[in-house]
Amino acid sequence: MITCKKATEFIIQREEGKISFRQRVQLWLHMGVCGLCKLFYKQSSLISKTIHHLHEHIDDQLSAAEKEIMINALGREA
Amino acid sequence: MPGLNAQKWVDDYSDMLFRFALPRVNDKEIAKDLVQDTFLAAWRNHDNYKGEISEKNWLFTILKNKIIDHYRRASTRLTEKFPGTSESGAYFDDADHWTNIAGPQDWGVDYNKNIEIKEFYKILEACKKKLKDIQSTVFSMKYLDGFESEEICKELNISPSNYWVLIHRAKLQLRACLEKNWFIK
Repeated sequence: MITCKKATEFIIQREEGKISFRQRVQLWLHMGVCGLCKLFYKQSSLISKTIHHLHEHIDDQLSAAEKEIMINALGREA
Repeated sequence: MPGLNAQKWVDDYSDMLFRFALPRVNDKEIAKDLVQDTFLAAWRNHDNYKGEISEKNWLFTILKNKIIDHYRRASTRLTEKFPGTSESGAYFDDADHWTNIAGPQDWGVDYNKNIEIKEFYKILEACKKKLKDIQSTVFSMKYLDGFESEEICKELNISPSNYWVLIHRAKLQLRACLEKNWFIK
């Protein structure tokens, strides 16, 4: 039986499709008896999915003064 | 330069470009500088802009290249600080099984659904910011920019085994941080 550390490594490699058939079998056997790694598996894929949307939820803005500096810098190029 | 309007460019695109850069570089000043550099590069090379893609996409293409340059610079600065492999010891015991404190807890959400709560993303961003140096760069390249592991190794000049150690540790750390700050209060 593989360890939890190994299982979490396989879980992450699996998300990229970088896992052999043998490793896949080892992972499923491990998760069959290890609830913690099964949770990690679900949470890891949720994180991978949600992180793609991170930028949609960022509302930081540049201040008017910072924009003015940019405009002026471009003006000097003209 | 005829036909170019600095005011309009900055009004239309600066915040958009800034918000794209920010989570990738984790630093407002750096993100701002990258946006500024993008405008300058676009301004100077406007003669080469063929209009095949929209002005917006063209600016984003320039910004993406600037971000990759930034990743590369960050990784060369940090090779000497490459973290040891012992750190994941914080999550696993001597037998490499989860420790009592670090083992995942159920978040009580539908794991197959996207989360649409603003505060969650604030915490996700904060947790991502806590990733250190090259770990953060690798994580951004993989999860924000969607690069393949081979490309990341090549751009940052790291070995595949280093890559997997970095991404594994980043994921463990981010998961633990999210659990601590969002799901379990």
